[in-house]
Amino acid sequence: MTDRDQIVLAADALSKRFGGNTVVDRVSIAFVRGRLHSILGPNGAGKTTLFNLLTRDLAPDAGTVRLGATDITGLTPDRVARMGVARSYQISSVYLDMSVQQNVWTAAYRARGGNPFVFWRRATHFSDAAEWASVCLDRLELSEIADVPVRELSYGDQRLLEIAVTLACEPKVILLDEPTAGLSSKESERVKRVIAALKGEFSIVMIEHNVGIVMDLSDEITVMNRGAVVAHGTPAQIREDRNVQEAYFGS
Amino acid sequence: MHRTEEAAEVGGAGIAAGWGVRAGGIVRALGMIGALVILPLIVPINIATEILIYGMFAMATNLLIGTAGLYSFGQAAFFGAGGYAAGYFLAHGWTSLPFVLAVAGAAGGFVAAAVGALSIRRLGVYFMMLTFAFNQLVYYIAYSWRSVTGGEDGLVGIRRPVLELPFAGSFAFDDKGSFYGLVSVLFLAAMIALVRTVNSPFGIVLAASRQNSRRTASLGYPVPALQLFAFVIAGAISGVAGALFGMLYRIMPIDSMHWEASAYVVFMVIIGGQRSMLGPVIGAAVFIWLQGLFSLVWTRWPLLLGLFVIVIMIYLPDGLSGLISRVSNWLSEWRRQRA
Amino acid sequence: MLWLISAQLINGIAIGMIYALMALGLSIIKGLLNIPNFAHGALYALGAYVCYSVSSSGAPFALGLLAAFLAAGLAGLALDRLAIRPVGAGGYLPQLIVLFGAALIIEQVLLIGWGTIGLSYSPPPLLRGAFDLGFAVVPRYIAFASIFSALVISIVWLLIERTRFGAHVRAGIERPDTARVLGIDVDLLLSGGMMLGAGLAGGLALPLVGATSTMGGDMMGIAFVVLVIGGLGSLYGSVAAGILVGLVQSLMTIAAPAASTAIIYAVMIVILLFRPQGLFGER
Repeated sequence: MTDRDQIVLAADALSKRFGGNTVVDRVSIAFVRGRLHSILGPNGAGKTTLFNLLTRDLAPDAGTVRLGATDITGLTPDRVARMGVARSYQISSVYLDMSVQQNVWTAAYRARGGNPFVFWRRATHFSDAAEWASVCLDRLELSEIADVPVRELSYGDQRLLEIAVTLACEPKVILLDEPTAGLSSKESERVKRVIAALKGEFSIVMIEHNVGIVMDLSDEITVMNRGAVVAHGTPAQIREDRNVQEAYFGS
Repeated sequence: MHRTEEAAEVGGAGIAAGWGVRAGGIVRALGMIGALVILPLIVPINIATEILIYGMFAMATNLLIGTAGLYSFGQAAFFGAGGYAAGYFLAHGWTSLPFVLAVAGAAGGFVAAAVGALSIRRLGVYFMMLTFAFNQLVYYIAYSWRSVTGGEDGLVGIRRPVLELPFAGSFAFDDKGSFYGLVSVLFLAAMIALVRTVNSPFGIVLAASRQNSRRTASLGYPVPALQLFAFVIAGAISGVAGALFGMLYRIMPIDSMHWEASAYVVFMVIIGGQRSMLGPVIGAAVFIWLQGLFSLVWTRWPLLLGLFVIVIMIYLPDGLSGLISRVSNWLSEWRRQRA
Repeated sequence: MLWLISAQLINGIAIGMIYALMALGLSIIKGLLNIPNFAHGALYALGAYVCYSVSSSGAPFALGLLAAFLAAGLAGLALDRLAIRPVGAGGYLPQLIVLFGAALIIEQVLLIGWGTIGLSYSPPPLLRGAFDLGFAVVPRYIAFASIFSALVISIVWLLIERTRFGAHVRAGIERPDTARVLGIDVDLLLSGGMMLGAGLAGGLALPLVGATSTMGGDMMGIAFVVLVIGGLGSLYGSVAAGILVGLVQSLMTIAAPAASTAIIYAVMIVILLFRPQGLFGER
């Protein structure tokens, strides 16, 4: 069994209702440090809502969320972000009016402890943040297009930028919400390659529909259906699991 | 080469200027100073002074509208607060320049902080309505508090300030020329301050929060606090502009706090273009010039103004500075094709 | 004293109903355009002036109200076709600016057409005088204005909640683009909101407050306050808030006349501090 120390993020009996619908139903899940843990499930299973609960973008109706040993259930999203929970969004949420480099810089500046109320110095003065931003761009293979306004990027490049921004936050745990959604197979391969290179060094939680990528990359998989956890295990175990087959294909 | 030029265009409110070339900044500064010297030679000096005052006001407003994306429709309250506060002291004999400027900035900043604190966390539409409503409230208070503000008649008897410097003697600004000089200096200071602010980490994060507020919060930035800070800065500069206006004509009219005045300054920002800090200044110049022109033609000139604004919005949504940059892009394309 | 209070209460209800009518129109437009209608006050003033002209020329007051209604509606349509739609693509700011510009134009037109002196108008003979209820005297026009407003609001409520047309309006409010695609004339709805909310309110208010050039701006501030107090998501919140504001304002004229308008803003601030979504709004 995994040591308590090893768990970087965990949820206990997390529940969320919207109106009469229970979208997340008493979900308990633990993410181990350094592993890539995927969350699978059909549409509407509650995966993105679970993410939102973990980052505190949404408040749970019941249950708790722990970052390491600290209870973060009652905190604000920006506090949780500063404590090290970083996420990418399903709908690309990069800053369209800025360049690629500026996007990553915005995240890097905060990660390196920058004070956002500084209004008397040029931003370029802060070389620490700029350097870290460059490093992140490199790892995502985006350095060539650093000065391009994001509005002009291809969708695939925008998704990679999304991940670069998440990385720049120097997070304790990275939550990736459907990183390959809407991408061509070539672009998906590129994303897969980049994520594989990050594995081990970072703790990654991923929602992903591309089952092939999930099976290839994941150390652990949790399957959700209709708001509840129906299966959990290694890719090999999940492949054999009857509940999973039922969730996806009906009975 | 074209790519980096575009990157310099992009970035809203001059963000990219920080990443651009330094030398360009010096050329621009000299150009600005040159323009300030020439201006009173082309238009009557009082009009020139008014243009600079409203230029300050419009730039401050642009920090909220263009950079932060906060559609605030109540800036006349900040302008007026500064104007009345400084005007009151000037009319009652306190003529020290640093003192009244500080009072004006504090008054404007304080009102802005109050309005901001109550309006900021609300949804977009709420926010707009609230800023408008608070403007009405401040106007109403000024209207009724006759003993202090003069009510409908405005605050009269405002004297020009005096600057006492320890070894150089005292400078009065009673004549038009020296007052224009004072306003130019303050205008330049405000412009430099605002351009620096926009290129600072604060400015960039503020612009980020305009483009995607949720994302910016998820990166760990306290967005509401940053927005409130923007309000205070904008309010303080607007307050100083208001004080200068009161000093210009030695009276602070009640109409300067009216919601129409707020609308006018928003017009200036939009007509001039919100993408840089120069845009609002151009907008202010055009607006004041038009106002002078139209008011000679017709007492009902605001109608022409309203028409003008609507036409610009339909055909030139990027404002005049957008037009200028498009023309210059077109020119450089044309030049390149000829080469 | 009691008599005075009850007189003001009744006055307050009538004014409040008119506020509610304004807020209702604003609410509908806000729902469709997603921006506050900065031209609403000007249309209200337009309604009052048009009603004045029609009614003073000898026609029955009812015709004046109808004229107010139509005038605001036509103006609203023109506004939509000529100003709002051409700038639709640019986002909210151009539309806001255009509405402001339109408000300026309309107000200047009113000054051109009717001059700068405020106009007053007495209620038509049928609605003069008052009912003596013993504990209070209710001026006939006040009763009429209140009941008429209540009727209009109820009809709108019925239309919106109970008919197919109403379902379309709600759809238009939820998703204006989809509604357009489905063939619902969002623009007509817009004008409808303007007609009802502003024009009619202006006509009704004419015998109560007269017609002045500043009435538009004054009313806008209050209408916004009513919307904010009532809560944005709720059409009926506007009604409740309108009445509340009317009552508070009228009662305050007894205690401290100068502060009666300022107190409304104070109420709004207090409500905002404790219940940011307004009395009936959703978070």
